[in-house]
Amino acid sequence: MTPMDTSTATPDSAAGHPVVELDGIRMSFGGNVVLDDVTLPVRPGFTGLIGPNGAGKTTCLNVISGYLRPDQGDVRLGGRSVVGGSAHQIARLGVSRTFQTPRLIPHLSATENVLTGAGRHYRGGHLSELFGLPAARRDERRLRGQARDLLETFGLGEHPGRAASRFPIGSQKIIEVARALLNEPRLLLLDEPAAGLGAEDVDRLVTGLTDWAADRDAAVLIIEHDLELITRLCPAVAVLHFGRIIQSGAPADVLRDPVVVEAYLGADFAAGD
Amino acid sequence: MLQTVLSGLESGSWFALLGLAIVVVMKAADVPNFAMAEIGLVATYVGTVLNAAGISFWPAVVVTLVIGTLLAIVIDLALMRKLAKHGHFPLLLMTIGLSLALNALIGLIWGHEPRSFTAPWSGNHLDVGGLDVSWAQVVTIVVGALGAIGITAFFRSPMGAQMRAVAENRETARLIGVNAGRLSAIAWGLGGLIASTAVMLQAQSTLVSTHSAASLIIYGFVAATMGGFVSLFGTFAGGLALGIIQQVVGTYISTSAQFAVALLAVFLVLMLRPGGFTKGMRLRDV
Repeated sequence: MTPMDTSTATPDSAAGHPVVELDGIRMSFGGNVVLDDVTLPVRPGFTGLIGPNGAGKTTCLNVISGYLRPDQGDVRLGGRSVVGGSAHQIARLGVSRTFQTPRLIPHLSATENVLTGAGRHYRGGHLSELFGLPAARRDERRLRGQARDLLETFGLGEHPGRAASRFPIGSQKIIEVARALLNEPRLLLLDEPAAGLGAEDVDRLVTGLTDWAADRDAAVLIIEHDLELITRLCPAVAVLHFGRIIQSGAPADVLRDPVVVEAYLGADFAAGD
Repeated sequence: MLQTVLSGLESGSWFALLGLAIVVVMKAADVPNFAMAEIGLVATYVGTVLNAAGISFWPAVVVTLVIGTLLAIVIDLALMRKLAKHGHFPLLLMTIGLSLALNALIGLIWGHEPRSFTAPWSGNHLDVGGLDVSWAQVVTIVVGALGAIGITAFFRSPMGAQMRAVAENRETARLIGVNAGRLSAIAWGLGGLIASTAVMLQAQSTLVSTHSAASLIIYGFVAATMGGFVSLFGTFAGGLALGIIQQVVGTYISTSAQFAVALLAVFLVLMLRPGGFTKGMRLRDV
Protein backbone atom coordinates (compact mmCIF):
# COMPACT_ATOMS: atom_id res chain seq x y z
CA MET A 1 0.00 0.00 0.00
CA THR A 2 1.23 3.45 -0.80
CA PRO A 3 0.78 6.27 1.62
CA MET A 4 -2.06 7.94 -0.22
CA ASP A 5 -4.65 9.66 1.85
CA THR A 6 -8.03 10.00 0.22
CA SER A 7 -9.34 12.50 2.72
CA THR A 8 -6.94 15.33 2.00
CA ALA A 9 -7.54 15.23 -1.74
CA THR A 10 -9.01 18.57 -2.69
CA PRO A 11 -9.63 19.71 -6.25
CA ASP A 12 -6.84 21.91 -7.47
CA SER A 13 -8.60 23.10 -10.52
CA ALA A 14 -10.24 26.37 -9.61
CA ALA A 15 -7.78 28.47 -11.56
CA GLY A 16 -7.68 26.14 -14.52
CA HIS A 17 -4.73 24.23 -13.12
CA PRO A 18 -4.48 20.78 -14.61
CA VAL A 19 -6.57 18.21 -12.76
CA VAL A 20 -4.18 15.59 -13.96
CA GLU A 21 -0.80 15.93 -15.58
CA LEU A 22 1.08 13.30 -17.48
CA ASP A 23 4.73 14.24 -17.33
CA GLY A 24 7.26 12.53 -19.59
CA ILE A 25 5.48 9.18 -19.53
CA ARG A 26 7.30 6.32 -21.16
CA MET A 27 5.65 2.94 -21.34
CA SER A 28 6.87 -0.13 -23.16
CA PHE A 29 5.80 -3.72 -23.39
CA GLY A 30 8.69 -6.11 -23.90
CA GLY A 31 10.87 -3.56 -25.72
CA ASN A 32 7.95 -2.25 -27.74
CA VAL A 33 7.61 1.44 -26.88
CA VAL A 34 3.93 2.36 -26.68
CA LEU A 35 4.17 5.75 -25.03
CA ASP A 36 7.22 7.90 -25.57
CA ASP A 37 7.72 11.01 -23.46
CA VAL A 38 4.03 11.83 -23.27
CA THR A 39 3.36 15.10 -21.49
CA LEU A 40 -0.27 16.08 -21.27
CA PRO A 41 -2.01 18.43 -18.86
CA VAL A 42 -5.74 17.85 -18.57
CA ARG A 43 -7.61 20.91 -17.34
CA PRO A 44 -11.18 21.21 -16.08
CA GLY A 45 -13.69 20.76 -18.88
CA PHE A 46 -13.49 18.45 -21.84
CA THR A 47 -10.25 17.38 -23.47
CA GLY A 48 -10.15 15.11 -26.50
CA LEU A 49 -7.44 12.54 -27.06
CA ILE A 50 -7.39 11.39 -30.65
CA GLY A 51 -5.11 9.40 -32.88
CA PRO A 52 -5.09 6.30 -35.07
CA ASN A 53 -5.65 2.84 -33.64
CA GLY A 54 -2.64 1.60 -31.75
CA ALA A 55 -1.36 5.12 -31.06
CA GLY A 56 -1.40 4.46 -27.30
CA LYS A 57 -4.59 6.28 -26.30
CA THR A 58 -6.03 3.53 -24.13
CA THR A 59 -2.57 2.94 -22.67
CA CYS A 60 -2.64 6.56 -21.50
CA LEU A 61 -5.89 5.93 -19.65
CA ASN A 62 -4.48 2.73 -18.19
CA VAL A 63 -1.47 4.61 -16.89
CA ILE A 64 -3.59 7.37 -15.34
CA SER A 65 -5.99 4.93 -13.70
CA GLY A 66 -3.16 2.90 -12.19
CA TYR A 67 -3.73 -0.25 -14.21
CA LEU A 68 -0.28 0.15 -15.75
CA ARG A 69 2.81 1.51 -14.11
CA PRO A 70 4.90 3.64 -16.47
CA ASP A 71 8.60 2.88 -17.02
CA GLN A 72 9.37 6.56 -16.65
CA GLY A 73 7.59 9.79 -15.92
CA ASP A 74 5.01 10.94 -13.46
CA VAL A 75 1.26 11.20 -13.20
CA ARG A 76 0.15 14.01 -10.92
CA LEU A 77 -3.41 14.26 -9.75
CA GLY A 78 -4.12 17.69 -8.35
CA GLY A 79 -0.37 18.19 -8.11
CA ARG A 80 0.36 14.96 -6.25
CA SER A 81 2.06 11.95 -7.79
CA VAL A 82 -0.14 8.86 -8.00
CA VAL A 83 2.32 6.58 -9.80
CA GLY A 84 2.52 3.27 -7.96
CA GLY A 85 -0.84 3.71 -6.25
CA SER A 86 -3.21 0.81 -6.71
CA ALA A 87 -6.09 1.20 -9.12
CA HIS A 88 -8.78 1.34 -6.46
CA GLN A 89 -6.92 3.96 -4.45
CA ILE A 90 -6.61 6.15 -7.53
CA ALA A 91 -10.31 5.65 -8.24
CA ARG A 92 -11.06 6.74 -4.70
CA LEU A 93 -9.06 9.91 -5.26
CA GLY A 94 -11.70 10.74 -7.82
CA VAL A 95 -10.59 9.16 -11.09
CA SER A 96 -13.37 7.27 -12.86
CA ARG A 97 -13.30 5.58 -16.20
CA THR A 98 -15.22 3.61 -18.75
CA PHE A 99 -13.95 0.89 -21.05
CA GLN A 100 -13.86 0.50 -24.80
CA THR A 101 -15.87 -2.71 -24.47
CA PRO A 102 -18.36 -2.32 -21.64
CA ARG A 103 -17.44 -4.23 -18.52
CA LEU A 104 -20.61 -4.59 -16.53
CA ILE A 105 -21.83 -7.43 -14.35
CA PRO A 106 -24.17 -9.10 -16.82
CA HIS A 107 -26.70 -10.55 -14.36
CA LEU A 108 -27.07 -7.50 -12.17
CA SER A 109 -29.55 -4.76 -12.93
CA ALA A 110 -28.59 -1.43 -14.46
CA THR A 111 -29.03 0.30 -11.09
CA GLU A 112 -26.91 -2.21 -9.24
CA ASN A 113 -24.19 -1.93 -11.85
CA VAL A 114 -24.19 1.82 -11.40
CA LEU A 115 -23.98 1.30 -7.64
CA THR A 116 -20.74 -0.67 -7.96
CA GLY A 117 -19.13 2.65 -8.89
CA ALA A 118 -19.98 4.23 -5.55
CA GLY A 119 -16.70 3.28 -3.89
CA ARG A 120 -15.51 6.76 -3.09
CA HIS A 121 -18.72 7.95 -1.55
CA TYR A 122 -19.41 5.54 1.20
CA ARG A 123 -19.28 7.50 4.35
CA GLY A 124 -19.96 4.68 6.75
CA GLY A 125 -17.45 2.18 5.41
CA HIS A 126 -17.77 -1.52 4.75
CA LEU A 127 -18.13 -2.69 8.32
CA SER A 128 -21.03 -0.44 9.16
CA GLU A 129 -22.65 -1.65 5.96
CA LEU A 130 -22.03 -5.26 6.92
CA PHE A 131 -23.96 -4.75 10.13
CA GLY A 132 -26.64 -2.65 8.47
CA LEU A 133 -26.02 0.36 10.68
CA PRO A 134 -28.21 3.43 10.16
CA ALA A 135 -25.37 5.39 8.52
CA ALA A 136 -24.98 2.63 5.95
CA ARG A 137 -28.71 2.58 5.28
CA ARG A 138 -28.71 6.33 4.70
CA ASP A 139 -25.73 5.96 2.37
CA GLU A 140 -27.50 3.25 0.48
CA ARG A 141 -30.73 5.21 0.05
CA ARG A 142 -28.84 8.26 -1.11
CA LEU A 143 -26.69 6.29 -3.56
CA ARG A 144 -29.65 4.37 -4.98
CA GLY A 145 -31.43 7.65 -5.59
CA GLN A 146 -28.37 9.09 -7.31
CA ALA A 147 -27.94 5.96 -9.42
CA ARG A 148 -31.55 6.18 -10.63
CA ASP A 149 -31.19 9.91 -11.33
CA LEU A 150 -28.08 9.28 -13.39
CA LEU A 151 -29.78 6.58 -15.44
CA GLU A 152 -32.66 8.97 -15.97
CA THR A 153 -30.32 11.76 -17.09
CA PHE A 154 -28.93 9.51 -19.79
CA GLY A 155 -32.34 8.30 -20.92
CA LEU A 156 -32.15 4.86 -19.33
CA GLY A 157 -34.58 5.55 -16.52
CA GLU A 158 -37.26 3.27 -17.93
CA HIS A 159 -35.78 -0.09 -17.02
CA PRO A 160 -33.56 0.41 -13.98
CA GLY A 161 -34.17 -3.17 -12.88
CA ARG A 162 -33.34 -4.87 -16.15
CA ALA A 163 -30.22 -7.05 -16.23
CA ALA A 164 -27.27 -5.23 -17.80
CA SER A 165 -26.69 -7.97 -20.36
CA ARG A 166 -30.15 -7.36 -21.81
CA PHE A 167 -29.30 -3.81 -22.85
CA PRO A 168 -27.81 -3.14 -26.29
CA ILE A 169 -24.07 -2.41 -26.30
CA GLY A 170 -24.67 1.32 -26.73
CA SER A 171 -26.82 1.47 -23.61
CA GLN A 172 -24.30 -0.65 -21.71
CA LYS A 173 -21.68 1.97 -22.50
CA ILE A 174 -23.98 4.63 -21.13
CA ILE A 175 -24.56 2.58 -17.96
CA GLU A 176 -20.77 2.57 -17.59
CA VAL A 177 -20.72 6.35 -17.83
CA ALA A 178 -23.39 6.54 -15.12
CA ARG A 179 -21.36 4.14 -12.98
CA ALA A 180 -18.30 6.34 -13.43
CA LEU A 181 -20.25 9.48 -12.52
CA LEU A 182 -21.65 8.00 -9.32
CA ASN A 183 -18.10 8.21 -7.99
CA GLU A 184 -18.35 12.01 -8.40
CA PRO A 185 -15.02 12.03 -10.21
CA ARG A 186 -12.84 15.05 -10.58
CA LEU A 187 -11.27 13.28 -13.52
CA LEU A 188 -13.45 11.25 -15.85
CA LEU A 189 -11.74 9.06 -18.45
CA LEU A 190 -13.95 7.95 -21.34
CA ASP A 191 -12.66 5.35 -23.77
CA GLU A 192 -14.58 5.72 -27.04
CA PRO A 193 -17.91 6.42 -25.35
CA ALA A 194 -19.76 7.02 -28.63
CA ALA A 195 -18.56 3.96 -30.54
CA GLY A 196 -21.55 1.75 -31.26
CA LEU A 197 -24.08 4.39 -30.24
CA GLY A 198 -26.90 5.59 -32.45
CA ALA A 199 -27.21 9.31 -33.21
CA GLU A 200 -29.93 9.72 -30.60
CA ASP A 201 -27.84 8.01 -27.92
CA VAL A 202 -24.85 10.18 -28.80
CA ASP A 203 -26.98 13.28 -28.33
CA ARG A 204 -28.17 12.05 -24.96
CA LEU A 205 -24.62 11.23 -23.96
CA VAL A 206 -23.39 14.69 -24.95
CA THR A 207 -26.26 16.46 -23.19
CA GLY A 208 -25.88 14.32 -20.09
CA LEU A 209 -22.15 14.90 -19.90
CA THR A 210 -22.29 18.63 -20.51
CA ASP A 211 -25.09 19.01 -17.92
CA TRP A 212 -23.07 17.03 -15.45
CA ALA A 213 -19.88 18.99 -16.09
CA ALA A 214 -21.58 22.39 -16.15
CA ASP A 215 -21.67 22.99 -12.41
CA ARG A 216 -18.48 21.16 -11.54
CA ASP A 217 -14.87 21.84 -12.27
CA ALA A 218 -14.11 18.27 -13.10
CA ALA A 219 -11.96 17.32 -16.07
CA VAL A 220 -13.11 14.87 -18.71
CA LEU A 221 -10.60 13.17 -20.99
CA ILE A 222 -12.26 11.55 -23.99
CA ILE A 223 -10.76 9.12 -26.44
CA GLU A 224 -12.94 9.15 -29.50
CA HIS A 225 -12.78 8.53 -33.22
CA ASP A 226 -15.91 10.54 -33.89
CA LEU A 227 -14.25 13.88 -34.66
CA GLU A 228 -17.54 15.69 -34.89
CA LEU A 229 -18.27 14.72 -31.31
CA ILE A 230 -14.80 15.85 -30.25
CA THR A 231 -15.29 19.19 -31.96
CA ARG A 232 -18.69 19.61 -30.31
CA LEU A 233 -17.52 18.80 -26.80
CA CYS A 234 -13.86 19.62 -26.44
CA PRO A 235 -12.26 23.06 -26.40
CA ALA A 236 -8.90 21.28 -26.28
CA VAL A 237 -7.64 18.25 -28.12
CA ALA A 238 -4.34 16.35 -28.24
CA VAL A 239 -3.22 14.05 -31.01
CA LEU A 240 -1.31 10.90 -30.18
CA HIS A 241 0.63 9.19 -32.94
CA PHE A 242 2.96 6.23 -32.43
CA GLY A 243 3.07 6.95 -28.71
CA ARG A 244 3.93 10.64 -29.04
CA ILE A 245 1.82 13.74 -28.68
CA ILE A 246 2.29 15.37 -32.07
CA GLN A 247 -0.08 18.29 -31.68
CA SER A 248 -2.46 19.85 -29.20
CA GLY A 249 -4.69 22.89 -29.01
CA ALA A 250 -8.14 23.95 -30.13
CA PRO A 251 -9.77 21.30 -32.36
CA ALA A 252 -10.30 23.70 -35.25
CA ASP A 253 -6.57 24.44 -35.43
CA VAL A 254 -5.36 20.96 -34.61
CA LEU A 255 -7.53 19.20 -37.15
CA ARG A 256 -6.34 21.56 -39.89
CA ASP A 257 -2.67 21.05 -39.07
CA PRO A 258 -1.04 19.34 -42.07
CA VAL A 259 1.04 17.10 -39.80
CA VAL A 260 -2.11 15.83 -38.10
CA VAL A 261 -3.98 15.41 -41.35
CA GLU A 262 -1.06 13.50 -42.79
CA ALA A 263 -0.37 11.34 -39.72
CA TYR A 264 -3.81 10.56 -38.51
CA LEU A 265 -6.57 11.42 -40.84
CA GLY A 266 -4.87 10.42 -44.06
CA ALA A 267 -5.88 11.33 -47.56
CA ASP A 268 -9.49 10.14 -47.09
CA PHE A 269 -10.33 12.85 -44.63
CA ALA A 270 -8.73 15.57 -46.68
CA ALA A 271 -10.62 14.38 -49.73
CA GLY A 272 -13.93 13.83 -47.94
CA ASP A 273 -13.94 17.13 -46.08
CA MET B 1 -43.78 -38.80 8.19
CA LEU B 2 -43.98 -35.33 9.79
CA GLN B 3 -41.29 -36.43 12.19
CA THR B 4 -39.09 -37.32 9.23
CA VAL B 5 -39.74 -33.98 7.53
CA LEU B 6 -38.82 -32.21 10.74
CA SER B 7 -35.48 -34.00 10.97
CA GLY B 8 -35.08 -33.25 7.29
CA LEU B 9 -35.57 -29.55 7.89
CA GLU B 10 -33.00 -29.68 10.64
CA SER B 11 -30.26 -31.37 8.63
CA GLY B 12 -31.42 -29.38 5.60
CA SER B 13 -30.64 -26.19 7.53
CA TRP B 14 -27.05 -27.36 8.03
CA PHE B 15 -26.71 -28.11 4.32
CA ALA B 16 -28.38 -24.85 3.38
CA LEU B 17 -26.08 -22.81 5.61
CA LEU B 18 -23.00 -24.57 4.31
CA GLY B 19 -24.26 -24.08 0.76
CA LEU B 20 -24.70 -20.38 1.52
CA ALA B 21 -21.16 -20.18 2.88
CA ILE B 22 -19.92 -21.68 -0.39
CA VAL B 23 -22.03 -19.34 -2.52
CA VAL B 24 -20.95 -16.24 -0.58
CA VAL B 25 -17.29 -16.94 -1.34
CA MET B 26 -18.22 -17.91 -4.88
CA LYS B 27 -19.99 -14.60 -5.39
CA ALA B 28 -17.10 -12.47 -4.23
CA ALA B 29 -14.02 -14.49 -5.05
CA ASP B 30 -15.36 -16.83 -7.72
CA VAL B 31 -13.85 -19.93 -6.13
CA PRO B 32 -15.80 -23.08 -5.28
CA ASN B 33 -14.55 -23.56 -1.76
CA PHE B 34 -14.11 -27.22 -0.79
CA ALA B 35 -12.50 -26.31 2.52
CA MET B 36 -15.63 -24.69 3.97
CA ALA B 37 -16.81 -27.65 6.07
CA GLU B 38 -13.34 -28.15 7.56
CA ILE B 39 -13.06 -24.46 8.42
CA GLY B 40 -16.32 -24.82 10.32
CA LEU B 41 -15.11 -28.05 11.88
CA VAL B 42 -11.86 -26.57 13.17
CA ALA B 43 -13.84 -23.76 14.79
CA THR B 44 -16.39 -26.17 16.25
CA TYR B 45 -13.66 -28.42 17.67
CA VAL B 46 -12.15 -25.45 19.46
CA GLY B 47 -15.65 -24.80 20.81
CA THR B 48 -16.07 -28.39 22.00
CA VAL B 49 -12.71 -28.23 23.76
CA LEU B 50 -13.77 -25.07 25.58
CA ASN B 51 -17.12 -26.65 26.29
CA ALA B 52 -15.47 -29.74 27.75
CA ALA B 53 -13.10 -27.58 29.77
CA GLY B 54 -16.09 -26.10 31.56
CA ILE B 55 -16.28 -22.75 29.77
CA SER B 56 -19.91 -21.76 29.65
CA PHE B 57 -21.88 -22.11 26.45
CA TRP B 58 -22.23 -18.59 25.06
CA PRO B 59 -18.60 -17.52 25.41
CA ALA B 60 -17.67 -20.80 23.71
CA VAL B 61 -20.07 -20.01 20.86
CA VAL B 62 -18.58 -16.56 20.39
CA VAL B 63 -15.03 -17.95 20.35
CA THR B 64 -16.07 -20.62 17.85
CA LEU B 65 -17.58 -18.10 15.47
CA VAL B 66 -14.63 -15.73 15.78
CA ILE B 67 -12.19 -18.55 15.06
CA GLY B 68 -14.17 -19.69 12.02
CA THR B 69 -14.28 -16.14 10.67
CA LEU B 70 -10.61 -15.42 11.29
CA LEU B 71 -9.44 -18.76 9.91
CA ALA B 72 -11.26 -18.08 6.64
CA ILE B 73 -9.85 -14.55 6.41
CA VAL B 74 -6.33 -15.80 7.07
CA ILE B 75 -6.71 -18.43 4.35
CA ASP B 76 -7.80 -15.75 1.92
CA LEU B 77 -4.99 -13.34 2.82
CA ALA B 78 -2.18 -15.84 3.18
CA LEU B 79 -2.97 -18.37 0.46
CA MET B 80 -5.72 -17.47 -1.98
CA ARG B 81 -4.60 -13.90 -2.63
CA LYS B 82 -1.23 -15.02 -3.88
CA LEU B 83 -2.71 -17.61 -6.21
CA ALA B 84 -5.45 -15.39 -7.60
CA LYS B 85 -3.40 -14.12 -10.52
CA HIS B 86 -2.87 -17.66 -11.81
CA GLY B 87 -6.53 -18.20 -12.54
CA HIS B 88 -9.30 -20.27 -11.06
CA PHE B 89 -7.97 -23.78 -11.33
CA PRO B 90 -5.08 -23.38 -8.87
CA LEU B 91 -7.51 -21.73 -6.43
CA LEU B 92 -9.88 -24.67 -6.69
CA LEU B 93 -7.05 -27.14 -6.11
CA MET B 94 -5.91 -25.07 -3.16
CA THR B 95 -9.30 -25.37 -1.46
CA ILE B 96 -9.33 -29.14 -2.01
CA GLY B 97 -5.80 -29.39 -0.62
CA LEU B 98 -6.78 -27.22 2.32
CA SER B 99 -9.79 -29.38 3.14
CA LEU B 100 -7.55 -32.46 3.28
CA ALA B 101 -4.89 -30.65 5.27
CA LEU B 102 -7.32 -29.18 7.80
CA ASN B 103 -9.03 -32.54 8.14
CA ALA B 104 -5.70 -34.24 8.85
CA LEU B 105 -4.76 -31.47 11.24
CA ILE B 106 -7.98 -31.94 13.21
CA GLY B 107 -7.29 -35.69 13.38
CA LEU B 108 -3.75 -35.03 14.55
CA ILE B 109 -4.72 -32.62 17.30
CA TRP B 110 -8.07 -33.94 18.48
CA GLY B 111 -8.24 -37.49 17.11
CA HIS B 112 -11.01 -38.99 15.03
CA GLU B 113 -13.60 -39.73 17.70
CA PRO B 114 -16.88 -37.94 17.08
CA ARG B 115 -17.67 -35.05 19.38
CA SER B 116 -20.64 -32.94 20.26
CA PHE B 117 -21.07 -29.36 21.32
CA THR B 118 -23.54 -29.52 24.18
CA ALA B 119 -25.96 -26.63 24.31
CA PRO B 120 -28.04 -25.72 27.38
CA TRP B 121 -31.10 -26.98 25.50
CA SER B 122 -29.49 -30.21 24.28
CA GLY B 123 -31.72 -33.15 25.08
CA ASN B 124 -34.80 -30.99 25.79
CA HIS B 125 -37.87 -31.80 23.79
CA LEU B 126 -41.24 -30.29 23.10
CA ASP B 127 -44.42 -32.15 22.37
CA VAL B 128 -46.26 -30.39 19.59
CA GLY B 129 -49.49 -32.28 18.94
CA GLY B 130 -47.83 -35.66 19.21
CA LEU B 131 -44.79 -34.51 17.27
CA ASP B 132 -41.54 -34.84 19.14
CA VAL B 133 -39.62 -31.62 18.56
CA SER B 134 -36.18 -31.13 20.07
CA TRP B 135 -35.04 -27.65 21.01
CA ALA B 136 -31.93 -28.24 18.95
CA GLN B 137 -34.15 -28.63 15.90
CA VAL B 138 -36.00 -25.42 16.65
CA VAL B 139 -32.77 -23.50 17.16
CA THR B 140 -31.22 -24.90 13.99
CA ILE B 141 -34.18 -24.17 11.77
CA VAL B 142 -34.64 -20.65 13.14
CA VAL B 143 -30.93 -19.79 12.93
CA GLY B 144 -30.77 -21.25 9.41
CA ALA B 145 -33.70 -19.15 8.22
CA LEU B 146 -32.41 -15.97 9.91
CA GLY B 147 -28.97 -16.57 8.42
CA ALA B 148 -30.41 -16.94 4.94
CA ILE B 149 -32.48 -13.76 5.31
CA GLY B 150 -29.49 -11.83 6.65
CA ILE B 151 -27.20 -12.92 3.82
CA THR B 152 -29.81 -12.13 1.19
CA ALA B 153 -30.30 -8.65 2.63
CA PHE B 154 -26.56 -8.17 2.67
CA PHE B 155 -26.20 -9.01 -1.01
CA ARG B 156 -28.88 -6.50 -1.91
CA SER B 157 -26.71 -3.73 -0.53
CA PRO B 158 -24.33 -1.83 -2.79
CA MET B 159 -21.52 -3.79 -1.15
CA GLY B 160 -23.14 -6.98 -2.41
CA ALA B 161 -23.09 -5.56 -5.93
CA GLN B 162 -19.45 -4.61 -5.50
CA MET B 163 -18.65 -8.16 -4.41
CA ARG B 164 -20.19 -9.39 -7.62
CA ALA B 165 -17.98 -6.94 -9.48
CA VAL B 166 -14.91 -8.46 -7.82
CA ALA B 167 -16.01 -11.97 -8.77
CA GLU B 168 -16.74 -10.89 -12.31
CA ASN B 169 -13.34 -9.30 -12.89
CA ARG B 170 -11.03 -8.31 -10.08
CA GLU B 171 -9.03 -5.88 -12.22
CA THR B 172 -12.08 -4.08 -13.57
CA ALA B 173 -13.51 -3.89 -10.06
CA ARG B 174 -10.34 -2.15 -8.87
CA LEU B 175 -10.46 0.27 -11.79
CA ILE B 176 -13.97 1.36 -10.90
CA GLY B 177 -12.84 1.96 -7.33
CA VAL B 178 -13.78 -1.25 -5.56
CA ASN B 179 -11.37 -2.33 -2.84
CA ALA B 180 -11.22 -5.88 -4.15
CA GLY B 181 -8.88 -7.19 -1.48
CA ARG B 182 -11.00 -5.99 1.41
CA LEU B 183 -14.22 -7.26 -0.13
CA SER B 184 -12.86 -10.71 -0.80
CA ALA B 185 -11.58 -10.90 2.79
CA ILE B 186 -15.04 -9.85 4.02
CA ALA B 187 -16.66 -12.53 1.87
CA TRP B 188 -14.29 -15.21 3.14
CA GLY B 189 -14.86 -14.08 6.72
CA LEU B 190 -18.61 -14.17 6.21
CA GLY B 191 -18.31 -17.64 4.65
CA GLY B 192 -16.24 -18.85 7.61
CA LEU B 193 -18.79 -17.41 10.03
CA ILE B 194 -21.69 -19.17 8.31
CA ALA B 195 -19.79 -22.44 7.96
CA SER B 196 -18.86 -22.52 11.64
CA THR B 197 -22.47 -21.76 12.50
CA ALA B 198 -23.58 -24.71 10.35
CA VAL B 199 -21.12 -27.18 11.87
CA MET B 200 -21.78 -25.93 15.39
CA LEU B 201 -25.53 -26.41 14.90
CA GLN B 202 -24.85 -29.88 13.61
CA ALA B 203 -22.67 -30.63 16.65
CA GLN B 204 -25.33 -29.57 19.15
CA SER B 205 -27.77 -32.21 18.00
CA THR B 206 -25.55 -34.96 16.63
CA LEU B 207 -21.91 -35.97 16.61
CA VAL B 208 -19.37 -34.39 14.29
CA SER B 209 -16.00 -35.77 13.30
CA THR B 210 -13.41 -35.64 10.58
CA HIS B 211 -15.71 -38.00 8.64
CA SER B 212 -18.84 -35.90 8.95
CA ALA B 213 -17.09 -32.91 7.32
CA ALA B 214 -16.66 -34.79 4.06
CA SER B 215 -20.35 -35.55 3.71
CA LEU B 216 -21.33 -32.08 4.89
CA ILE B 217 -19.28 -30.41 2.16
CA ILE B 218 -20.85 -32.66 -0.47
CA TYR B 219 -24.33 -31.79 0.75
CA GLY B 220 -23.37 -28.13 0.87
CA PHE B 221 -22.24 -28.32 -2.74
CA VAL B 222 -25.46 -30.07 -3.72
CA ALA B 223 -27.38 -27.19 -2.17
CA ALA B 224 -25.16 -24.64 -3.94
CA THR B 225 -25.61 -26.48 -7.23
CA MET B 226 -29.37 -26.33 -6.83
CA GLY B 227 -29.01 -22.56 -6.60
CA GLY B 228 -26.77 -22.52 -9.65
CA PHE B 229 -23.97 -21.25 -7.37
CA VAL B 230 -25.57 -17.83 -7.66
CA SER B 231 -29.01 -17.76 -6.16
CA LEU B 232 -29.05 -17.50 -2.38
CA PHE B 233 -32.72 -18.40 -2.24
CA GLY B 234 -32.17 -21.39 -4.53
CA THR B 235 -29.30 -22.56 -2.36
CA PHE B 236 -31.32 -22.25 0.83
CA ALA B 237 -34.36 -24.00 -0.61
CA GLY B 238 -32.10 -26.62 -2.18
CA GLY B 239 -30.47 -27.35 1.16
CA LEU B 240 -33.83 -27.79 2.90
CA ALA B 241 -35.18 -29.98 0.10
CA LEU B 242 -32.05 -32.07 0.20
CA GLY B 243 -32.37 -32.53 3.97
CA ILE B 244 -35.94 -33.73 3.62
CA ILE B 245 -35.18 -36.04 0.70
CA GLN B 246 -32.24 -37.46 2.58
CA GLN B 247 -34.28 -38.15 5.74
CA VAL B 248 -37.14 -39.67 3.78
CA VAL B 249 -34.72 -41.94 1.96
CA GLY B 250 -33.02 -42.84 5.23
CA THR B 251 -36.32 -43.67 6.93
CA TYR B 252 -38.19 -45.45 4.17
CA ILE B 253 -35.42 -46.94 2.03
CA SER B 254 -32.05 -47.19 3.70
CA THR B 255 -29.56 -44.88 5.37
CA SER B 256 -26.88 -46.25 3.10
CA ALA B 257 -28.80 -44.91 0.08
CA GLN B 258 -28.79 -41.32 1.42
CA PHE B 259 -25.50 -40.29 -0.13
CA ALA B 260 -26.30 -41.84 -3.49
CA VAL B 261 -29.63 -40.03 -3.59
CA ALA B 262 -27.93 -36.72 -2.82
CA LEU B 263 -25.53 -37.24 -5.70
CA LEU B 264 -28.42 -38.28 -7.92
CA ALA B 265 -30.08 -34.98 -7.04
CA VAL B 266 -26.99 -33.05 -8.23
CA PHE B 267 -26.93 -35.13 -11.36
CA LEU B 268 -30.56 -34.41 -12.12
CA VAL B 269 -30.22 -30.69 -11.40
CA LEU B 270 -27.17 -30.42 -13.62
CA MET B 271 -28.83 -32.38 -16.41
CA LEU B 272 -32.18 -30.65 -16.31
CA ARG B 273 -31.42 -27.19 -15.04
CA PRO B 274 -27.71 -26.46 -15.24
CA GLY B 275 -28.32 -22.90 -14.05
CA GLY B 276 -29.91 -24.06 -10.79
CA PHE B 277 -33.52 -24.94 -10.24
CA THR B 278 -34.62 -21.41 -9.47
CA LYS B 279 -33.13 -20.09 -12.69
CA GLY B 280 -35.70 -18.46 -14.88
CA MET B 281 -38.04 -17.88 -11.98
CA ARG B 282 -38.64 -14.18 -11.59
CA LEU B 283 -36.30 -13.82 -8.69
CA ARG B 284 -33.91 -11.02 -8.15
CA ASP B 285 -30.47 -12.26 -8.88
CA VAL B 286 -28.72 -11.28 -5.71
